[in-house]
Amino acid sequence: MTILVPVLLPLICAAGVLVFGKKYPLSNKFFTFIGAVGALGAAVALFAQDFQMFYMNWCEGVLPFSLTAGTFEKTVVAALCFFAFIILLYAAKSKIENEKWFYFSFLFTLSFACGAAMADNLLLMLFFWEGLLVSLYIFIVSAGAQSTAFKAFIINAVGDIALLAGVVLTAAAAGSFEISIIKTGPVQLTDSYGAWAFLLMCAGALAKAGAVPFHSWIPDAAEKTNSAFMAYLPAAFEKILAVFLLGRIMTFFNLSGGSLGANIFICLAIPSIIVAVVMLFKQKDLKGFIAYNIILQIGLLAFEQGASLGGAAELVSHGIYKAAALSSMFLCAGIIEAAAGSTALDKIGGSLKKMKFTAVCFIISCAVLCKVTLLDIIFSNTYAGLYSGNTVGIIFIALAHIFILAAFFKVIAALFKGNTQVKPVPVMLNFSAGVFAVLALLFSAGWVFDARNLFVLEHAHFNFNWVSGVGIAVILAAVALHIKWPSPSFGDFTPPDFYQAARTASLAVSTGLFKTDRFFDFIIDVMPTTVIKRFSKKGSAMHTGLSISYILWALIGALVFAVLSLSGGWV
Amino acid sequence: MLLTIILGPILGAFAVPLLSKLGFKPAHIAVALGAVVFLLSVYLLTAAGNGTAFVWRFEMPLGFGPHFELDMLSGFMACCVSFLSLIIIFYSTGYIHDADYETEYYTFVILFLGSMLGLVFSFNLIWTFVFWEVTAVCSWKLVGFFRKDADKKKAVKTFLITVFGALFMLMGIIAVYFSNGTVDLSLLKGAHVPAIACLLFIIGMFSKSAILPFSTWLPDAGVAPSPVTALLHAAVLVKIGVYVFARVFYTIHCDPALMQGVAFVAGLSSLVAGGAAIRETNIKRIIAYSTISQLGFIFLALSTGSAAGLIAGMLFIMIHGIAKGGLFLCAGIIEHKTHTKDITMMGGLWKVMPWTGTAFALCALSVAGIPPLSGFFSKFMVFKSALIPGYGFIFFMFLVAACFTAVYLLRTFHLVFLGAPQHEWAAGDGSFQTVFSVTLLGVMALAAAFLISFPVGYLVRAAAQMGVL
Repeated sequence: MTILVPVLLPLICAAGVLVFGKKYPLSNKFFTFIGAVGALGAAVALFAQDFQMFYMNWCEGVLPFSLTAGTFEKTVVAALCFFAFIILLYAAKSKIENEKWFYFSFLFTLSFACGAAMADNLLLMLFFWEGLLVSLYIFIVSAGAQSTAFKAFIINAVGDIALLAGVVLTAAAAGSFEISIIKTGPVQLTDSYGAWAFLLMCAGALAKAGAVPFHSWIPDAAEKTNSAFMAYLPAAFEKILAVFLLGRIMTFFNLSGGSLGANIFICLAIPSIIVAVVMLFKQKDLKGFIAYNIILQIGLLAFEQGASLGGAAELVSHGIYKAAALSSMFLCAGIIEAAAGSTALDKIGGSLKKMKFTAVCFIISCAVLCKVTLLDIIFSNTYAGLYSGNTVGIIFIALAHIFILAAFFKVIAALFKGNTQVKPVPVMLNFSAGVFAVLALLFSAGWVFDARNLFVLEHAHFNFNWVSGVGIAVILAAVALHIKWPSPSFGDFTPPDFYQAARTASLAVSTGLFKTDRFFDFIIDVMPTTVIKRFSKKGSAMHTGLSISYILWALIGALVFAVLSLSGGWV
Repeated sequence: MLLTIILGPILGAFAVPLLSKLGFKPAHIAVALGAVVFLLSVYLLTAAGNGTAFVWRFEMPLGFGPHFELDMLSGFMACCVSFLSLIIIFYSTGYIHDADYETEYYTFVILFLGSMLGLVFSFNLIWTFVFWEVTAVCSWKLVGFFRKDADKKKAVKTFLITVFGALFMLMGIIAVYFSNGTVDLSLLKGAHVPAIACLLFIIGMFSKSAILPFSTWLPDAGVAPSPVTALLHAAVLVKIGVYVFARVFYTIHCDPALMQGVAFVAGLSSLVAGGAAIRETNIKRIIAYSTISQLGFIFLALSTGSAAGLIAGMLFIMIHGIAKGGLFLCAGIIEHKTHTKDITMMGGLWKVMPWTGTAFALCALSVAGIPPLSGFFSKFMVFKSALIPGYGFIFFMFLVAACFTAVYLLRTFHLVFLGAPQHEWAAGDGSFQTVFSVTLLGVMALAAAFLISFPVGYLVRAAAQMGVL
């Protein structure tokens, strides 16, 4: 039954928040603490046990409520619960608007995310996955950002509908919704539904993580909501869930037969990388900068996955350290906001000089995301696929990293130059940021989650070869770029806002459809009414009251009858 | 028993004006009749599940005698219809306060309920047609309830379009009679019916269930009182077409190409209605367009002719009825509060009517198919059933329609309940009956997700009973 705790306990506590939260404000944190700690405890307890599963027939022949906790699932659930717990410590000490709805969404998210991670049935997974839309919406709306909430909901709903289609197609191709069965006979991309299923599943996973074109709500939310939410959902949970699903996808499909799968990953990744790199330089707000990093990192992750086609465990480790670094950065941004009263880069210059612990956390997180920690960019074997001769890929990713590094230099420089006054902030805020920074550092150094031994340091990266030289060149080029051209403007180029474009297009389409509806109304209602009115008007005019006209009518009728009868028309 | 559940409300409808003359309140009589009918339908549902047979026939020349029969499908539909009708009648007691026409209102609502149940249990197509037309008369009277010129015009439009479609269906029935020698569905099991007869049937069903090109009467019928729109145009009346579609086309054998055509037109209808809902600003018209759009999903599922399609379609009827009924009833409360139907003139209502807001949110999420609401399951099952060869483009059309659904419902919620208030609204949701009704439907939209195994399990057995599983 331990397996049920991470799903049910937070949900029960969320109900508690909903019922008592308004009348007893303290109960919000109390219930959330119980839910988060209980879920974390259960996640740790799962590690102490072998393979766990739970089965209940929720809906006959349609949906079994089946959860499994193998190594992969345990890792993801542990990561989710750990992130939730640490961010809760931060949230408890920071200013949160509408606490009741924030903590309700917090617990709801934790429950459904754990459910999605442990579901052994694609439909059940989709149920939990799509359910996260509700908490995402409530989180943002309760922070007072209504238009952003609308945007986030619609963008994610579209991504989830793509995933629904992917799930249906995958199940049709595999002949089952049971994940454990699908894994035993992965779908070929050459199957009738295979390629579409793979593409839609990947799109659903990446949409959840905010990949382009599903990204534009993230910078808006960063600007209008609190750091705890940003660290929790877009930076951590959605990232972890995305890599989790990508990991699942790697087991659902057989990608070894050709390059189609890798190409799909790379094609989905490139727009995110390009858009994010350009936008990183245009940011004048620290939270906006981190928000675009979320988009960038999912792009890089998908690109690297396409290049290396790594396994599920590798993907999850990769995703967790990115999530940790991004969360740490958001929490640092929240600390800076609390201390300096702003996150606008021109108003917080020099703030990090006075906040040394926050500065260390922030720099570690930046370094991890730039892959310079322990010279990871040089020694990383996630580029193994690229090393094997994909020169264009190497040049693209190297160029991207030059600009990424330069953008980070620019922001770090802005945070250290100047003399902004800061006020003290609660220690707990720094504690949470610090934990994530350390976690990110450990992961980037090669710490990999292992089901049997949580604390094994499995450094698998030292794989020096000629491409490592490219890594050094990237760092040097980025330094040179920062010195010579600290703020590249890319001219007037601004990547298209896909949401706005889609909105404009959908408004045009809906106008067209509305006119189509009116056209049918004209055909069905207006036209017949007009014709009948005119006909009856004419008919009424023919009623002259003169006998001769009626005799004429009768004769015409008789003539028609006679012609029809004689020609055999009645038969 | 079958005669009781059909004739009870039909005769009861005529008793309403008589008893009101004796001092009984029409609302009380209607609630009592609705409750009795609901209890009877629950009994019949259980009996059908246990395999108990209820058949009533009356021999007439040419095989035109009425033939009512209880099977699991009709039991399921009757239960859905009577439950939603009961809720809506109860809501009406807190909404309809027009002393002059109150008696007439309840008379026609109860008559509608009786004719609907007659249609549900009828196995003779002639009698299906008779009850079909009685519902049209009821809807004509109820849509024009407020008696303004514009209302009357819309009522006439509703009547004419549905009757026009019904005439096609009558021609279809005649064609079946001449080609197969009977109009009794129990004798038509597995029979090959000419494609032209099927087409005529489909036109009739499209007109009743508001599918393009016959859909435009439904948004116009929003001039009716909200409980009427909920009863006729969301929960019950428009479901006649899809129910009879299921009943007829899961009995006779029809050309699969025609069914693919049905799915395509339904997809087009869903898209057009979804697009129109995005542009619309009248809350009741938005919900009506939404109904048209969602009816397309039901036709999609049923057009597949498979057991999965039957289960998905019937489940969709139930879940959509609950949620859409809730939305229309919420719209009634909102209209009472704001005295407008224009959503751009509302805003900020969440703070003053939280119960209605919560119910609206739950129902809207259910219609949009978002978990943990029950609409998720029906939406998913429709898509799952539609994954058959030749349906690729249609499948895509419905995916887009599903996106539209999320957009217009969320937009409506935002403009009505969030944002800056356009006026200073007084606090308070509405009368007890109205708020209780919408809250119940909202809770049911949520609870049905966790109890989904009951309707699905029942429908699986219904599909087996109909010989498609």
